[in-house]
Amino acid sequence: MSTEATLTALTTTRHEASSTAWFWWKETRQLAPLVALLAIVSLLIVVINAVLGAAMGWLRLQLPHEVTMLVFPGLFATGAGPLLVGQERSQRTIDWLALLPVSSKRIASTKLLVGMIGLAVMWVFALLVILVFELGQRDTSHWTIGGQTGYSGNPFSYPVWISHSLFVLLAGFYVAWRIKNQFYSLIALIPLAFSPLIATSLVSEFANRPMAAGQLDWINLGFTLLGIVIVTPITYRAAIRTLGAAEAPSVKPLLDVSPHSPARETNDAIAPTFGTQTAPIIWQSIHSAKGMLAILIGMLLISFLAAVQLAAVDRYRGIIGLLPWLLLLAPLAVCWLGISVFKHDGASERVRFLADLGVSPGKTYFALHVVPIAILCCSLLVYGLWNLTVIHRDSVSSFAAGLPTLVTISMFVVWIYSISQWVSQFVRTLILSVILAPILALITAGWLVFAYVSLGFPIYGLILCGLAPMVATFVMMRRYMDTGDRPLTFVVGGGVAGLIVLLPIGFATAHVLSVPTMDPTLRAELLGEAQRDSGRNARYVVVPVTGFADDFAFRHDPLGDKMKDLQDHLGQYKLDPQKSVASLKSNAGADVVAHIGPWEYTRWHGNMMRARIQWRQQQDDPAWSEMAQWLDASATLLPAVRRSTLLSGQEIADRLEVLMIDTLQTDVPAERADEPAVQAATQAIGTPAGRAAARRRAVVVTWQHNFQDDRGRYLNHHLTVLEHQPPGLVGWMQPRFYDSLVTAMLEGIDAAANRSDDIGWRWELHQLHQTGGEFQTSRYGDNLRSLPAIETMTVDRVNGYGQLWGRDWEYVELKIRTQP
Amino acid sequence: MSASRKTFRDRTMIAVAMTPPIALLLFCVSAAATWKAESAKIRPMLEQSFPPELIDSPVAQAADYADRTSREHTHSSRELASAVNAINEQYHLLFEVLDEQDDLFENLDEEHPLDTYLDDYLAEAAPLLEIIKQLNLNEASIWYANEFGNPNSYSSGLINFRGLPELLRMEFRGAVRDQQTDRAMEAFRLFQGLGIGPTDQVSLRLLPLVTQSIATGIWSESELDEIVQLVKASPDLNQAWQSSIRSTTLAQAPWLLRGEVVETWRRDPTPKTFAPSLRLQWLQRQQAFSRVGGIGTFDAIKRVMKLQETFRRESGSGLDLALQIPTYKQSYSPGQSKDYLATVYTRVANERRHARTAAAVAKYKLKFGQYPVTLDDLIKVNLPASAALDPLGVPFHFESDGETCELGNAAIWFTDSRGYSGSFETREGTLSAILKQFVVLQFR
Repeated sequence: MSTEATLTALTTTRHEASSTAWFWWKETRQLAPLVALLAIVSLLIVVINAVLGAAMGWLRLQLPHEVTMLVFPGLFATGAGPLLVGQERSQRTIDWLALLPVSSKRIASTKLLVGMIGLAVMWVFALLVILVFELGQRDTSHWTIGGQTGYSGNPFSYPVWISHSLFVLLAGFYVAWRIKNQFYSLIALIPLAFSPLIATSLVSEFANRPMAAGQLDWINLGFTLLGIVIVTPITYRAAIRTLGAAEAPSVKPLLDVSPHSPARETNDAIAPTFGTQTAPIIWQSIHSAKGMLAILIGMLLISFLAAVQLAAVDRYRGIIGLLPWLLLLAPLAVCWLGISVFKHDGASERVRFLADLGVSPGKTYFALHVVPIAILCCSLLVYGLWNLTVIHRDSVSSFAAGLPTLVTISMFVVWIYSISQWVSQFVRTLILSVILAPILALITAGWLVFAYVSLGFPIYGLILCGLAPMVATFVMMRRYMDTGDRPLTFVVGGGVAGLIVLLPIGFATAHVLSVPTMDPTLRAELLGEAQRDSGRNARYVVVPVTGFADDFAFRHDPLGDKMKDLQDHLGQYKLDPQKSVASLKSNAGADVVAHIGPWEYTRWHGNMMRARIQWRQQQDDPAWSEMAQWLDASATLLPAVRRSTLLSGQEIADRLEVLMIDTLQTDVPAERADEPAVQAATQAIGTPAGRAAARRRAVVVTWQHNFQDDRGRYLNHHLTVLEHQPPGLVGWMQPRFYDSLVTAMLEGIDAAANRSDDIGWRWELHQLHQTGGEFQTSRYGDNLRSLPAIETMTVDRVNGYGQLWGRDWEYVELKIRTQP
Repeated sequence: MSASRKTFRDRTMIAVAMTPPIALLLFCVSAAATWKAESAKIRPMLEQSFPPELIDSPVAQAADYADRTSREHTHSSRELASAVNAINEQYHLLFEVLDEQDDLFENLDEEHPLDTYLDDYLAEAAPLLEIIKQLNLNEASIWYANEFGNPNSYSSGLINFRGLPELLRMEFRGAVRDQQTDRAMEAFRLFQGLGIGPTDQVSLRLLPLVTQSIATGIWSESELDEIVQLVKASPDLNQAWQSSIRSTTLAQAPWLLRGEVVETWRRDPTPKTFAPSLRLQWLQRQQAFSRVGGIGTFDAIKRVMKLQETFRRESGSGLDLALQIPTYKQSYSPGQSKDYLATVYTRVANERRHARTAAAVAKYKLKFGQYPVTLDDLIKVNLPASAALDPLGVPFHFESDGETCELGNAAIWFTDSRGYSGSFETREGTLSAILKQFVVLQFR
């Protein structure tokens, strides 16, 4: 590719002896894919974030934009050197470049300058995005060093980041000039890039006093600048040496090779004999990428040892504080193992060789995968065995307690490996795939975890998505071997990406659609009904029910004199029913609606019970008049509550009516049946048809108001079924569930009006309201419904909508009513 | 590369490639086998403690509850509870003041500023108290319609039970203030009848008030005997301990058998699985706890804490854990912590010993005309020395000059730990952790 770029540059740029414009142009073109790729991926992440944010704003499962923006210049810095230098060295075009009449000095400096300009462009781009999207917190500036937010809490000191990325860029050039093997140079870059951080940790480890976070920031900056100062000249020197004349190979004596000399043995080892066709391919797989595999195994091992160490300590400071970073080596190693499948040294030659030998694509595919997979299996096994010895308890080590299980880890390994090997087949250059694969693997893993936790994506779907890229590379294998994989590979790649993105969405959509919505004509009809009903001019009256511990709580000083409180306020807590309903009585003619909540009702219920018990104990006139007062006040209250267009209001009305019927039936003797209070109470008791109408009105109006009251409170309108849905889908499912709830309740209202024993609506309400519970023991089941309502109804809460509908109390023939 | 005879090299290469995946597969298969085997062990273990039909009933707890209670008094007790709650709510200011009054029984002959309020309350509550007496409620007669096994248990509508004991406490206070011992005795009798288990809640405990009242000298010899009898008849602590563990275990039956989280408060949105060995371990731990004997002693607390410490350090290292999702440690700990329970029980046991010792002191005075000089003298009124020991096994603090005496609920003074939780490291710390407050009765 770089040869190509050079040739086009040579023909398209003006060719003047002194001008190196063509060279600049070539270098820029060489760098362009990296810049474009990183810019596209970062913008994609921003877009995904924005879409997710808009779709589920309440779900805080987003990567901060800033992190995305800050990571990408760093990635560019990592890739620039290996791409501009390492790639040309491995493809030997650098030798050709060195033959041109351009000085080594100029070649080295131009390449470095192009890299620096690219970095500047990346930074300008990143900062522009941050500005455009108004990211970052305004209250803490990231342009300070050693800010007060803390070392770990403030990793975004922009000056430190920018200088560090410059350091990484220089280091990248240095390793690329020094080490010819691209992969090794990248590996060497990792510790080099982290060296300022390591040095900072060492200082904090060996400092005699604890370091403030801000100080560590400054020390970090100091080490980074020092690194820049050191690396710049040695990079230059390494470049000049590489571009200079290579040393002549030393002459080896041709004679005197003993039969057992190492040379001979090596020769023997190079071509061992095998009896099968598979074994030599495996052998070759190991031998052709020995170094790379060894390094990757080393990375896995280091990461594992870090985990072992972390599981034994419970405090991360100084050197130990760096251990969690080492853990990241493991996913990186898995990722690069995936890349090694199609992009190790000489991989393309090997594939071509096998193709020429007539080895089938299937066998080649197997041969390429077998060693990385064996390594991964081995690592997983070690992890599983090690975990048998670990105590997973917070009291021992919080790290050990949070260790994911073998199954979980395996899932992640499958995703990362599968995506990476696909990238390595898809992308032509090693460096690009080395940088792109971790990003794509991270995005994929993040998306699938999100799909599992928030969208309810099933486990077999996760496996399916994990294996799809493996299938894609397998399908493309024959064409890949014949280097005829383009452009079909883009189509297959698009298919894989589409599957991973769309499958979870498809599942989620199917799940949402599995809850039926209301029939549109019925909906329009009900909405019209709700409009009509809520439009009526009703007067709302709040019923003052005193006597709560918190009624006057705001007035009292918790440290004040309780005795004085008692003397001054005790009397205010006595509940006078007539006073409570006075405002209702004064509006007797009008359509007044009473507002009374479950707690107020509890007080009403309890006090009426007191009056009844007192009357039972002493059958005298004072006791009777006390009870009569309650009956009379309840008779005023009941119709006003029944008029409520709130579902919870209807529930309260049901309870009050049950209480009144129970009172009239058990505690009013026949000789008192003619008293005005009894008459009023008897009159107030509704009929099944009247209740059905009031309930229907309340249900549709409450539904029209999205189960909120006029102040936007949900009151007790809470649906358990929503808690059982994947959290990411709740927003979509809520209206559908409300539709189902309304349908079931309307059915229940009809059933109650017709005294039908229908179980369907009750089952449905139980499913919606008590999801995952036992129907038989619930208030919707026959066991509790067969008991008297007064014995089973919830008093202090109105949860369990419709629990009283259609039960015996509704159809009771009041005995007193039959009396003349 | 001729495909002829398999050489040693062939086998090595193939082994190198194939061994790790096969080994991993074997590991996973044995983990799955362990999952199955451990899972099969749970039910037989549960059957050791519960009859199979109880385990199989869709809601084990509901069945168990229905078996233990009768519906005889449901209607009346529900009515009563809601009425008592209403009046207690109305008088909540009085309750708050009373909670802070330590000296209510100090001088019964003088008017106390709270007397009028107490009388007002009792006058209003008289009809309710009458019902309590008529119903003669006991543990088994209280049946409330409850929706066991359904989420949102807060919607169960179980009427707050606290009102009844609170009313009886008020009645007891009022009766003692009025020096009407038969009324006070009746309240105590009714309270004991409710069969309230050992608890930390002040409003559910009457015994400390009874003990305080003994120091006033209002009780006759026969009444003191009855108090001692009632204290002796109160629920056995070992049994209460067992049944608390039993009900916790039973409630977790769906989790133990099928790994279904028994919902208590809010659902965890992340799907989780629990390996059988983890559940089995929990069950074994419950059994280990239930085997702890001598509940109510400091030794029992130590044993429970030691068990907890070993459990805390113990590794759940079953092979099947590897197949859990997502982590090796899935925190799940239903029920109250056992060391807390053991501490509460020890405190209740001490309360009982303190009450009996106080009764013996009062009886001694009635019999011999003066207070005993030492606690050893109480053998003359049939109180064995072992009944006058604090949780650490040391005789209660006791000072007497014959005319007056004082009796503490522990051997030594300790700092009041209401503000912080005591530790078990020192003698004082242990006493304050268990008893919370040093109570001294002044006999005059």
